[in-house]
Amino acid sequence: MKKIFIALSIYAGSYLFTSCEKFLDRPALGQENLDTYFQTEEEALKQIAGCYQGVFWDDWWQVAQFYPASDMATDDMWMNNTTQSQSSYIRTAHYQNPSQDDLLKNYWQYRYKAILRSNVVLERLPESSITNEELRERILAEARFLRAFQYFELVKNFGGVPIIESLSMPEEVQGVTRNTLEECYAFIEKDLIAAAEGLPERSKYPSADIGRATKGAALGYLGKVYLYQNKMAETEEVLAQVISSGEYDLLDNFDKVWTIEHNNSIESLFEVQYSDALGYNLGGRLSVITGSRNDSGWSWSGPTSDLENAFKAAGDEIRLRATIIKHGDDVWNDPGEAAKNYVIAPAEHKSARINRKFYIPHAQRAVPYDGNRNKLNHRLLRFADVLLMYAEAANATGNDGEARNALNRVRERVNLNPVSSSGEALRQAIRDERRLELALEHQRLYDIRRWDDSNGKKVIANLFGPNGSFVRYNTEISTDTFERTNQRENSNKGTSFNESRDLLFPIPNSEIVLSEGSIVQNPNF
Amino acid sequence: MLFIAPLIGWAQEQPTVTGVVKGSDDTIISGATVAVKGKPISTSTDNDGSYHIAATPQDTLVYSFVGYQPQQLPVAGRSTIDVFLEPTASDLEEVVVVGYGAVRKSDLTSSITSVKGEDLKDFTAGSALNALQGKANGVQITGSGGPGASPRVIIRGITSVNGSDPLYVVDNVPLPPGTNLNFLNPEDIESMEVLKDASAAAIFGTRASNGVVLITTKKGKSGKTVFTFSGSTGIQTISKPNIADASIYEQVYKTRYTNDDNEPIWNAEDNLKPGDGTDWWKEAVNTTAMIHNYNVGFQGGSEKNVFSGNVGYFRQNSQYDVGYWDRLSIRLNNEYTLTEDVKLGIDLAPRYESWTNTPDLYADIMRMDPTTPIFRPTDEWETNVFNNYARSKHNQVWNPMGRLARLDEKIQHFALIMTPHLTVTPIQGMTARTQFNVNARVQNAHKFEPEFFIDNLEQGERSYIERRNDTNIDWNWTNTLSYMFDLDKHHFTTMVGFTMEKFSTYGLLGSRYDVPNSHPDLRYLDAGTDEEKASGTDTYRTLMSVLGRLTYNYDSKYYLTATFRRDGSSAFPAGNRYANFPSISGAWRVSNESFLAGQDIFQDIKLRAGWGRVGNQSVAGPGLYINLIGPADYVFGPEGTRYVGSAVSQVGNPLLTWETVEDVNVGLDLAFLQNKFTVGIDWFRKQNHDMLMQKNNLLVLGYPMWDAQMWANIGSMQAQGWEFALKYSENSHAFTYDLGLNMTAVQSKAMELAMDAPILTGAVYNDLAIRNIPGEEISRFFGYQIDGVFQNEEQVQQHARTDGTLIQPNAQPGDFIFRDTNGDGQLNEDDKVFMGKAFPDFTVGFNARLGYKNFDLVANFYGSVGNDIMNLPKVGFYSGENGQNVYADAFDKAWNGEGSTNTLARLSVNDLNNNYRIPSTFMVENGSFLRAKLLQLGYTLPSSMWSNGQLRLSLSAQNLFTITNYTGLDPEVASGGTALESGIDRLGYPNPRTFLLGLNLTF
Repeated sequence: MKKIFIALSIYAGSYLFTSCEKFLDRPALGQENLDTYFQTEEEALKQIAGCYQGVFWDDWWQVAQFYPASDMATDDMWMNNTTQSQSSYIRTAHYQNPSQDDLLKNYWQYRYKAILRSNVVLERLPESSITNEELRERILAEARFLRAFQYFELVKNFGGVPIIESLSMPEEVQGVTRNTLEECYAFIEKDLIAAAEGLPERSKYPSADIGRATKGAALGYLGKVYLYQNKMAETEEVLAQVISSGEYDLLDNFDKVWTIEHNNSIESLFEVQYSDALGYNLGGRLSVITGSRNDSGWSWSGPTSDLENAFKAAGDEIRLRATIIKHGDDVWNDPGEAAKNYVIAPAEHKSARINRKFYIPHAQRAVPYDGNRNKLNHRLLRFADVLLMYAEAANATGNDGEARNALNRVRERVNLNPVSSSGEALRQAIRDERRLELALEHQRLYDIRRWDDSNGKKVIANLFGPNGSFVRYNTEISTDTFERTNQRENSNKGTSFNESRDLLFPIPNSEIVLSEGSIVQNPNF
Repeated sequence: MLFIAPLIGWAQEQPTVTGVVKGSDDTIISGATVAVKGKPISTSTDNDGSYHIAATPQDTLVYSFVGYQPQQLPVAGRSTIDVFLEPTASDLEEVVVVGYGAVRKSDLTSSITSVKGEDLKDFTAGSALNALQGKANGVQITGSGGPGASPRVIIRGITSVNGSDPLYVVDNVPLPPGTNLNFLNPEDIESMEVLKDASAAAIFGTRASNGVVLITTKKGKSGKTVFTFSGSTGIQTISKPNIADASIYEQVYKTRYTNDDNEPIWNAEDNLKPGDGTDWWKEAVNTTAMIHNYNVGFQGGSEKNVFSGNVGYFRQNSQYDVGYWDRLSIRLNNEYTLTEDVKLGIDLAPRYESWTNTPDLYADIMRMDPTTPIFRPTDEWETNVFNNYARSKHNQVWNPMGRLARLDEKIQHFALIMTPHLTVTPIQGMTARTQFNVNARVQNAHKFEPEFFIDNLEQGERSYIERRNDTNIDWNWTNTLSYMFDLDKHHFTTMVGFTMEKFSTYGLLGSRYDVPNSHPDLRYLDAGTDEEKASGTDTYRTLMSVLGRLTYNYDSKYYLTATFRRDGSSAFPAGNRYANFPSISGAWRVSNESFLAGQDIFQDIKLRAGWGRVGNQSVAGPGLYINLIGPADYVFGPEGTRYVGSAVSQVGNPLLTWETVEDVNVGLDLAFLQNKFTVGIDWFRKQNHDMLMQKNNLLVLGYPMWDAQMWANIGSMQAQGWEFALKYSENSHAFTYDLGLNMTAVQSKAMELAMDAPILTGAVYNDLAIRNIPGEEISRFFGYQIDGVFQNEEQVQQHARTDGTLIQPNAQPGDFIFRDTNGDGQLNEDDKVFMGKAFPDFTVGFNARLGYKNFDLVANFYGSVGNDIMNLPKVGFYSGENGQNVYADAFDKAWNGEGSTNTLARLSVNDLNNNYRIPSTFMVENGSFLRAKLLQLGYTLPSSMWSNGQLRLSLSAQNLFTITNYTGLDPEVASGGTALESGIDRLGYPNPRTFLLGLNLTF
C-alpha cells in the first residue's frame, strides 16, 4: 500500500516538473501573431493591402466623413442638412472651434492608425525572409508612398504633427512633441522621393494590380507637397516629369471623369478603389452621405449659389451641369426616369442643390444603396489637377508660356476659350480655373488657405470673417431664394472666422489633455 | 451445576438490550446510532425511537446522533436502557469547510460565514444565491426577477472595475469565471461557506480577489437509508404600475402641445373615455406565472459504502407568454471504503437545462400608446401574420404584442460533472487525497427573426436564422496531502497541495438570411437562402498551482494559521505568469485565559486578526500580451476585385500581469447565555493594486483599438467597512426559536484611475450623470439642483445675473428652477451638485425560525439603507416625451397655473428649458428598502398520524411586501449595475411576489 502511494506521488511530482511552461502557453487561436509574420510573399502583400485600406477606411465615419466637411468650411459648400442635428459639423463649417468634436478626433485617430500599418511594413519587411528583391522593394516603396500620403493629409489640416516612425509602446511616446512644419514636410518629401524611385510607372503594372501606387502618383503628390510650401521651381520640375511621361492624359469628355465606367481612367493618378462584392464592406458611401434626402441620401454638404454663380460668370455650362444638381432639374447624364424633375426639397436642404460628381445614376447603384457597396472609386489625384498645379508653378517662376499651355488644355476639354493673359491676371485665371475644374473634390480649402490675395491677406481671410466677401454676398447681395428662405442653416456662415486662428484646424482636445501638455494646441483655440 | 448453567445459557442465546432514545426534551430520536463500544456491532433507532442490540452485561453502549452530545452507558446487567440525549451546546462544534479542508468553527482565525443547506432550501428559487441573500453578513446580493437570472453578488465591497463576482468552488473545484450558479440544485447543497477575507481566500490565489463561495454537496452517511421528497408549486405575480389609460393619455399628449402654442398632432379619436383604448399591461403581462420545484433524494450507507443522491426538476415561467427556464438535475455521490486506509469515490451530476430568453419589454409595455389597438383592422390583414400588428399612432414604440409573437430564441444546455476521487490514510493523522474533476457542457442556441413589415420604421427587412453551439470542457486535478499531529497541548495541522486546471471553449456560430416563410418547419439553417456565414474558434486557459497551509493552536487558546499559494496562469506573458499569495491570521481565545476563569457570563470570547494577498486574472481574453493580426481587405484590378489584406488588430502589452488585492481583517466573536447568544463583529479594509484597465493612449501611437486603448495595470480601488452578526437560539422549551441579524456597512472607493481623471458614466440623454472621482466612493450621481418651479414670469426674470442676463433664458412659468451653484450666471458642468450614491450605507438581513409544537414559522427579511437610485424612466412617465404613455397622475400633478404645484414642471413638447433632458435632483430618489423575502408557515404531521417518517406541509409567500419610498418598479433591481455605473433604473424585470404550497416528506 505504502509503496503504491509513494510511486503515485513520484509520478505526480515528475509530471509537474516536466510540463510546467508548455501547459501555461495559450495563445489566441484563430488569429495570427505579428511577431511571426512576414514569412512569405503572400503575407507581405496582405499587409500592404491593409495599408491601402487605411487611405479611406471601410466606412464613412473614420475619415471619409471629414472630406465633405472640409468643403463645408469653404465658399463652395453648405452643411446643407436642415432636418437633423448639425452638431457634428457646425463648428467646423461655421468656424466655432471644433476642438472637442468627434469629426476631427476620428480623422486624427484613423490617420495615425494607418501610419502605424505602414510603419509595421517598413520595420518588419526588410528583416523578413522574402527573397524576391524586386517585389520587396516595390512593397516598401508602396508603404513609403502611403505613409507620406497619410502625413500629408495630417499636415495640411493641422500643421506640424508628431512624426512616429515605428510601432511604439506608450512609455516611448511619453512627452512627445509636435515636429515643426518644415520637419514634417522634409519627412514627407523624403518618403515620396524614395517611393518615386521604387515604384513602377502605371503602364508597367500587370492589370490585376490596377489601383496600386505608381511612380506618377508619387511624383504628382510630391509636386503638390512642394506647391503647398510655395517651392515653385521644384513643383514645376517634378510635375513636368509627370506630364512628359506620356502615362496620363485628360479624358475627352468631362462627363466621364466621375463615372463608374471610367474608374482608373487615363486621367487618374490615384483613386480609392471600391468593389460591390456581396457580403463585404468594400464599397463607397460618400454618394449616400452627400445625396439628396429625398433620394435615400443623408444630405450632408451641398453646393452654394456662390459656386454656381462662378460657373455662370465663366460661361462654363459643361462643368456646371456635371458638378451641381439643383432642385427641379433633370439630373445631367442620367437617363433613368427617377432622374427627371429631381427633388432636393428646399425645406430640407439649405441650398436645394447637391454634388453631381458623387451622384450615381439609379441603374448603377448597389442594392441596398445605403451601405458600403457602391463602386464609384473616389478620385484623389487626377491629371487635370497636375496640369493646373504645373500652370500655377510655371506662372510663379515666370514661365507664363508653359503655364498658359497647361491651363488651356484643361479649358479646351470643356469648350472654353483659351486664356492669353500673363502675370497676375494669369495667376487669377489659373486660380479661378482650379475652383471650377476641381470643385467639391476637397481641394478648395487648402487652396484658399495658402493663396495670398493682392491685399497681402490670405484669400480665405478675405472671403470669411464679419466683412468677408462670401459672408456679405450671402447676407446682403444674394438673390437665391432657396438659400435666403431656408435659414435652418444660417446664411452668415463664416462670420466668426478668425484669421489668426482658422488657417488650421485644432488638434483634437482629448489628445492635448492626454499628452499632459507636451502636444501644444494650435494658437488661439 | 450452578456454575455450568449460566455458562450454557450465555452460549446459547445472545443477550439483547432494548430501550428508547429520546432527546432531553422528550422528543423521539429516530435514526440514532447505538453501538457496542469496541465491537463492530451497531444498530439505529426506529421511527419510534426504540432499538435492540446484542450486548453482554460487560459491554458499554455508545449512543450518538447529530446535534446531540454522545453518551456512553455501561450495560451493567440491564436489559432495558432508555436514554435521554443532550443537544450539543452550540454551533461552535460545527464543522466549517475551508479551502481544501475543514475546521471546527471554534478554531477559525479568519472571517468565514457558514450557511447550512437546510437554511437555503426554504426559499424556492433557481439559484442558491437568491436564498443566501440576507443570511450572510458581508455579502450584498442584488437579485433580478427574470427566470434563470443570476443575481449580482458583492462580498465586502467592490475593489475592481473588472467585475465583482466571487470565485465559486464546488467540492474543491473552482468554477470558471462568469458561471451562473443556477446550474446547481439547492437541494444538493450540504453547506455554503463564504470566505470573506484574504486570510481565508488566499488559498485560492489568483481568482479570489472578490471573495470565495465554497459549496459542499451532500455526501452519504452510514446508517439506514433515508428518502426525502420535497415539492413546491406556486404562482408569481407582479404589481401593475399606475399607468394612464387612453383618456388621460389624450389629455397629457394634447396639453404638451397647447402649452407651447402648438397644434397637437393627434391621430386617434377625440374625447376618449376611461376604458377606451388598449390596456397593454393587461394584454401582455400575465397576472400569474407558475413556478415548480420537485426533488427526490436518498442518503444512506454502510461501513463499506456511503451514498447520497437526488433528482430534481425546477421550472420558472416569466410573466409573459414566452420566457421560461427549467432544469432537470441528477446527482449521485458515492464513496467506497476499499480497505481501512483507502476510500474511492465518484460524484456524478448530469443535468439538462432549457430556456427561452425573457424579453425585456416592461419599458415598452408601459410606454406604448394606449390609443393603438393590438391589431390592424381585419380587412387589412395579410398572410404574414407578423404584419397584422398595429403601428403605434403617437410614438415610435414597437408593438409589444408583435414583439412577443415574433420571439423565437431557444437554448438547450446539456452538462455533466464528474469527479472521481481517492483518499488514502497511510499513517495515523495523515491523509492524501487526489481528485480529477471534469465539467463538460454543450449549449445549443437557436434564434430566428422573421421578416415582417408593420411600418417603414418598424420592420424586419429580411428573415434571419442563427445557430450557436458552444462546448466547454474543463478539467481540474487536485492533490492534497495533510498531516495532523499533537505535541502535548500543541496541535498542528499541515497541508500541501498541487493543482492543474484547464478550461477549454469550442465555439461555432452559423447564420443565414432569407427563409421562404415563417413556418416553424423552415426555421432552420438549411432553409436559409442567402448570405451564409460561419465563425468560430477555440479558447484555452490554464492554471497550475502549489499550495500549502499550516494551522497551529496551543490548548485551543492561541491560534495561528498561515497559507501560501503560488499560481501560474496562461493569461499573462512568460515572465509575468507566476505570482505568490501568502496569508497569515491568528486568534486568541480570551475566554480561556486564567484571568477570566470562573466567570459565567461569556462562554466564548475570541479575537481574530488576519492579513492576506489575493489576485485577479480576469481579463477579456487570451493572448492580450501578443500583437495580433486581423483582416483588412482592399480592392485592386480593372473590375474592382476583392483583395485579401491584413493588418495589426491588437497591440499587446508585454508587461501585463495580475491585479493584487491585499486585505486586513480584525474580528471579535462572543458567545454568552450558555451559548444561546452569539455575536460577531469584523472590521476590514481591502486594497487593489495594479488594477487591470483599458487605458486610453495617445492617438499618435496608432493602436488599432478605439482611443488607442491597451490593457495595462493601472488604477487602484479600496473597500473598507465593518460587519455585524447576532444569533440567538432557544431550543429547550415547547416554543423554540432561532433568530439571526446581519449587518454590513462598506464603502468602495476608486483610489486611482486611468489617466488620474474621473471616469464619467451613466448616460442621461446627451449628458453623463455618474462621476467616479479618484479618492471618492464609486458610482455617485451628479446633476443640477432643482429649487422648485417658476410660478410666474417675474420669478423667471429674477433668476438672473447681477447684470440682468437670465440664467435660464428659455424658461417659462411652470418650468423647473435650476440652481446656479457657483453664481457665475451660467448653467453648466460647474453647477452640478452631488445628488446621491448608488451603493448603500449598510445592508441588513433578519432571519427567524420559530417552532411551537408541530407548527413552524420561517421569516427572512432583507434591507438596504442609504442607497439612492436614478429613476430615469420616471422622467418619461411624467413628461410624456416622444409621445410615450405616462403615469395616471401625470396630468393632475403637472404644473398648470400659478400656485398649482412646486414639484412637477409643466407639460411641454419642446421642453426648451430642458426640464427633463438633463440630470437633476428630480431624477434621484432614495432607494432604501426593507423586503419580506420569505414568510413560511409549516405544519409537521404528528407522529401519531404518520409514523413512517416525517411529513411537513408549508405555505410560503416570497417577496410578500416591500417597505420603501422608491416609486419605481423594484428598488432592488434598480440598484444593480457594474462598479462604475450602478443605481440607474433601466426598468429591468422586477422580483415577483410568489405564493407557494410545499410538501416535504422524509422516510
